[in-house]
Amino acid sequence: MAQSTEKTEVLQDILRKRQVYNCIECGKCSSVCPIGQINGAFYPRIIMRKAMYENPELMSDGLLWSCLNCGRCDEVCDLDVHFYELIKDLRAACVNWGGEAIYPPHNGGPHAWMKLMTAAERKQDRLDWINSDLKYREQGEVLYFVGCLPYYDPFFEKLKLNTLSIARGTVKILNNAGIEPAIMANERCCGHDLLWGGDVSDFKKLAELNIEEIKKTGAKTIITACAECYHTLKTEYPKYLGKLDLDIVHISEFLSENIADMTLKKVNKKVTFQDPCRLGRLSGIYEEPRNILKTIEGIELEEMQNNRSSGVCCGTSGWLSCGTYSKQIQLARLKEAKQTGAELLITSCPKCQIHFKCALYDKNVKEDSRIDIQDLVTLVSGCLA
Amino acid sequence: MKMLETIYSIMENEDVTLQFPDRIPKQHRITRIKESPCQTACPIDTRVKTYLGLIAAGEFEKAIEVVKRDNPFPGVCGRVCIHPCENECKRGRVDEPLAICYLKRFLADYEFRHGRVRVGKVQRKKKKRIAIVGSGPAGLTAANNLVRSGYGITVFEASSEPGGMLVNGISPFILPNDIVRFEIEGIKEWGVEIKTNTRIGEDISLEALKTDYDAVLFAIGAQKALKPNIPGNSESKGIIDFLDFLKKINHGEAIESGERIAIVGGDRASVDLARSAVRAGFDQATVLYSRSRTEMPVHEHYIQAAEAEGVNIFFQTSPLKIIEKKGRVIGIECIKTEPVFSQFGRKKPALVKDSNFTIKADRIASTINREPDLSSFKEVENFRLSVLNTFSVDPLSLSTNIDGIFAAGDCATGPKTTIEAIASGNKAALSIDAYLRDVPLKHRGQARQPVEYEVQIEYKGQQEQVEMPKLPATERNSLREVNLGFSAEEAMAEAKRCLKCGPCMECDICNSDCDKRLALLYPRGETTGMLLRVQHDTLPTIDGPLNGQLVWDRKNTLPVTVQPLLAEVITELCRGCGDCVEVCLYAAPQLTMLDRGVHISEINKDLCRGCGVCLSACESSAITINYFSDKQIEALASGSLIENKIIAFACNWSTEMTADLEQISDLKMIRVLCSARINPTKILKAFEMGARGVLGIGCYEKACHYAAVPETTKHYRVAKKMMQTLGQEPQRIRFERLSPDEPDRINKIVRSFLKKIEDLK
Repeated sequence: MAQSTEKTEVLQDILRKRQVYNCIECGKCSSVCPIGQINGAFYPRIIMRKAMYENPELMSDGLLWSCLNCGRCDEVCDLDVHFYELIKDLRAACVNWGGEAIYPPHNGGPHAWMKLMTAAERKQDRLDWINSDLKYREQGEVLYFVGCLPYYDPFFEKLKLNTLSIARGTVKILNNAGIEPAIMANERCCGHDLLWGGDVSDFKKLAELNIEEIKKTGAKTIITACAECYHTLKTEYPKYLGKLDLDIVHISEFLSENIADMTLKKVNKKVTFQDPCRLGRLSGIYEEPRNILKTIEGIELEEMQNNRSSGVCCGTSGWLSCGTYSKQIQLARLKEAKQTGAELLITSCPKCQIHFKCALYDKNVKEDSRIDIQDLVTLVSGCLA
Repeated sequence: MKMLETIYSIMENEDVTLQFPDRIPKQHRITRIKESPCQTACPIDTRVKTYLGLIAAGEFEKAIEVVKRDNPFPGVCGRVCIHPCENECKRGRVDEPLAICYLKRFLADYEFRHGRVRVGKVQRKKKKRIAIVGSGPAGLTAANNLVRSGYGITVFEASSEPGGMLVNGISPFILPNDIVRFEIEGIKEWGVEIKTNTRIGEDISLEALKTDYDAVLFAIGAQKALKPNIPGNSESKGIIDFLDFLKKINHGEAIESGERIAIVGGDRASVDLARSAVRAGFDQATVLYSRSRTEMPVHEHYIQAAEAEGVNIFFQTSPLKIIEKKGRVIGIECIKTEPVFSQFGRKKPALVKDSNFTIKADRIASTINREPDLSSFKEVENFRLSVLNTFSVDPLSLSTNIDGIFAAGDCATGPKTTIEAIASGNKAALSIDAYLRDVPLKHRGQARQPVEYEVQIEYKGQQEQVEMPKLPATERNSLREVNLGFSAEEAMAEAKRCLKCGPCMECDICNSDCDKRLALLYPRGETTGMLLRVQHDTLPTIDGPLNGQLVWDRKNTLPVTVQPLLAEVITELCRGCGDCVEVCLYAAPQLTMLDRGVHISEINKDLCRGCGVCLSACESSAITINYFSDKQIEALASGSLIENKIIAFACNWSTEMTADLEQISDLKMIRVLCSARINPTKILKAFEMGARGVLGIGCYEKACHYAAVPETTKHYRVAKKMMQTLGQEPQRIRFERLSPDEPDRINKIVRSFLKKIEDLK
């Protein structure tokens, strides 16, 4: 008995902090939820209801782990309910009380390697993607934060991802702009997936280790090509570790500023752009990737019907839940992309690319959803003269 | 492969499933078991709760009957047993566990004083005769059982007195020799002949035994102490064979006592040896143990008893070098250690720099290693020996590679405890009996691991253990027994503390115990379910749900429906990618189209073999195997990682060739139907849980029943790459395929793998 009163109090605090009591159950959030449109059992309003009335029972509910944290509901809510932050806090409380994601895809493989990185003595061997024509250093003012790309390629062997081409492309772009970035030999996962999955303590361990490693490089500016790393380093690290004396920059911001000075070849392609949730709605960066695409000669940008703040999530978040609903979200979004007439779908987050490519791995997917996918960095680095 | 019948036990409300099932024989015997944690923990399945209750009621003779049903050595066990039962006793959660070991001793003392209680009787005499080589606990327990089954038993003992380690290796102030003699007499009273001063190979040949007897059981123990593995001249005078030393003390023979002895090792043998040395006249007896006091596998009160007698125990101390002068030992150089958490989460003793110091000693002994003494008979070359130089035996029948010759106890398992030797003797007796009657072996299952139970404990008020009366401290410098034993009143008071746990065995046992091949049975029309132990190793039949009969106590018959292990798709998680369809040799998964244009996989139960290859290929974790889920495999692995073992995932079909490996204590063998069941995530998780190494063992390509060798190869390759990127040595993961024309190869591979892991530390 005592225990559930304590739990109820913790939950009440979370609900108050995230302004859940503002909710008037208007249902706008549910109408824009990508999962809600496919799986009738999940929608933001039902989570609100359960949070307010059922309290601790919500913790063992699988619905808690189905949310994509895409932020579409936050975007449309007029009453300023902080929905995705609510989900994050609820998951943290759930994990703190011994719970965990109910059906993590890949049997929790990605989380396992992220947790293995929390060991301080670990010395990774993660730089063999760097070709001899790429220039980098151990220390420098500008640091390139790579992310988990060296792990995604081998783990998802059958998808033939080659996400490391994003890493090579980024360094090539920076070199072209006259920068030899510092790259950490023992960089840890930014911790995004663990944080959104409620494992705050492991997230903190990764964050502390990263900050320590970054200090050794002497870097003042961190550039990353992953929307999740960007949002995590910029917004979440200060929340848990205090203000950082670092300038976090997404590659699209960097390119947007510097592309005018770059010499680019012409590329004749009609493209469309997938706004990553963590870059767009959660960080407010919409125009920079578009500026870049418009600057490249020969690129014709066609917007999808749902773009910028109404862009639709790639269907899976944090390796916490996946399945037939995610697949349908992915196929619907890919269809939307194809319908623009574009031949190439440009993304700016490796996760979007992985999830879309995984959907297309299914040989039975029809042509109306089949479109080539490429990262913004790969496109730009490919047309550097 | 021998066809083994299955044995069942009663459970509550569960559906039936078979793990690795076979064509089910039509008739099965059922034994009703109601168990409590203490009974489950006991290697010989003693009915602890029953005899504690009888003691509390004052029915001592009935209690003795219960104990002696499976154990002819209650007086021995009541003094030396490591009592895993007490570790599991739920009373320990309230105040202190029941003093089960001391209570058994009380019963033995009672029998010693009031006269022998005969348990069981000799059945109709049989013509066949059995020779047992070795009169230690394993051999004599086997003799005790087999003589009552009617066989003619002759035990051959090399030394002048029977008892083996009981009289040679354990000191009289812990286990008095007259107790051992009394209990051995009890066995002889059934008609067992013990021929002392008869050494195999010298006084009698193995050939003669094979001719004159219908079966031979080796139970010669592990009575050869190995030299301490410490740098320095191992031929120096003063490095003593600790077993020889103990033997002399125990027989009251004169020993060359010196002034100071240093003993390397952290087990009961080393502490007892130190105490014996003090009694034998040594001025100083020191024990060196490389880890801490709490990590020492000796109960605190033994450590305190030793310290009270003047033994110095140096914790966190490792031996570095033997120091000698003119060919004689004068000391041992030591170094302090400190616990360090290695990269893989394990605590290991790390040497502390510049903390060297010397302990003066003129005698050094190490209790760390001993092995069977096979020096006397040449025919040992014909036997297959294991990596530990013990007899390599079939784990179920304890048969050596020579037909009609069996081995039990330390000489088959390597040095283990007394109670395990007794369990081994019981097991050998069953096996030899089945062999001689030419019937299939009814297997009662291996010694079980204690498992977590949810037991409701009413608050009964704190009441600690009744204290064991001891010899006054001033009188302990002799070979007289230190513990004096409970009186009847003390025994009854202690027994009354029992909480009477159990009786239930939740089906969750088999969920985490599935390497014991457990399965559940639900008789048609009954609300009570049953737990099966299945030892068969082939595929489920293609007929789908199987029907069988269960025979209970030879009288009652129950019709049952039995179901094999099956894969199942969780439809919401399936992304319809079709990988499961591609990897399955039996075409069990099929894609069906749903509306909205997506596909979902569905597994045809009649075709599925339960191998789990599709499960490991499914990226969405949408496939699960009933009663053998991934969580269960993880539970098996995590349980053993507490003991810091290397994990070996071995395929079920390799059982014959990998049977020896189950005996290697550093290895945890987890059996899966097909090695392809183990995908990179499971290997990553094993390391995340702290594993030092992962070994995969599977069949060679043509032999794989599921045509999954490419899958397995890929899984281990990806796992290696992942762990390498994470900074781990690639040698910590290995996958080996067995080859039937080189049956010993796997032993060599495992040995080299274990050594490699040790070197990598």
